[in-house]
Amino acid sequence: MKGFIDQKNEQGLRKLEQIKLIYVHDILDCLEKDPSLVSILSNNLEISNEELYDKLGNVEGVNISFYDQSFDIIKSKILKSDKFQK
Amino acid sequence: MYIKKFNIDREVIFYMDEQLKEHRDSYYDVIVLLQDKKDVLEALPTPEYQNFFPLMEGIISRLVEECMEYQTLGNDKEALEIIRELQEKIELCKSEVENVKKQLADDNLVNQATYSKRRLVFAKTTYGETFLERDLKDIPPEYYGKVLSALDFLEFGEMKSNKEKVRQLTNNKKMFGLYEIKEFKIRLIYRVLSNNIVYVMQARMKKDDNALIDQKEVINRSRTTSDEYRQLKKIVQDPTECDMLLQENEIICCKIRQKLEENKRSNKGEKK
Repeated sequence: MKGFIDQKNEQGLRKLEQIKLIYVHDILDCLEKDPSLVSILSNNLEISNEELYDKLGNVEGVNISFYDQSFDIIKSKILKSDKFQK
Repeated sequence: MYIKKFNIDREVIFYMDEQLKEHRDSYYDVIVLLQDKKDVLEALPTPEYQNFFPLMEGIISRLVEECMEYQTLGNDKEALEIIRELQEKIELCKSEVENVKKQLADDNLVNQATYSKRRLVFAKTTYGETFLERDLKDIPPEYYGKVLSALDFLEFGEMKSNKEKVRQLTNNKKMFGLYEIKEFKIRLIYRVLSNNIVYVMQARMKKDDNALIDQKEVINRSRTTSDEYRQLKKIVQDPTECDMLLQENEIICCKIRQKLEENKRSNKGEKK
């Protein structure tokens, strides 16, 4: 039973890492399409560009909220962007 | 052309909305699998982020839905085990939400005002020096007297009747849980650790010309100290560890006061 519980927990941890990586993939995709979002994102999160790339490059130990918030910021910036207003 | 552009952007936003929804649903997929309480807590959203409450509500309601579905299966042994597991997770998530709500309530100024003396714990840099001592290097010595007054007020001040001197920083959600004491141009930033224990994070001079820089400095310090603050929140729950922490900080406080007094005295242009 304990083995099964541990296995399920391991699965959960792997899933968590996968989700963070999917977030990172989507965030990087947006940053690649519009590089001006890099500084918008780092300014909004109050971190340096280096720290932002560190967190995008290594998801271990970074809470999923960081990526959730980042994606949210990108989404709202695109929504508020000038071209959308037009 | 604009209409075409508008439609493209609408598609982008719709696509991103869907992605975000999927991402958020995945919080639940992780929580359902995790068995270790510590891992579950670490996988939950953090209270500093704006989406904490809606995300937690979403996770809890999905757990409840899942639980209700299993309850329809009757007394199946396996189903009962899953129900028990889900209920534990629901309770864990609910208690996390309650803790954050309680913290918000405990931190408020009315509660702080009920203590005639507050104990000060100073935020430290990774080199072990206090941030306050480091901040003093950027403050002209003629203002040291004001820093001392701000520390005195934080320690012994009557907060209830001094609303112009102490305020909660609410103009930016990143300043969640932060308070400011005002002494002429000096600002002392702190947050509450527990009941009568406060965490002194920053002393700085107000920059008249740029409120945004002021705000950014506070937010940056809040981020830099957030890990230590979280650790200290746990330490103050343990009476023995808390006692040691307070003793250590009593000594630090004396040293800081001494330094401020010495430099204040040696400077003739002290601000009145």
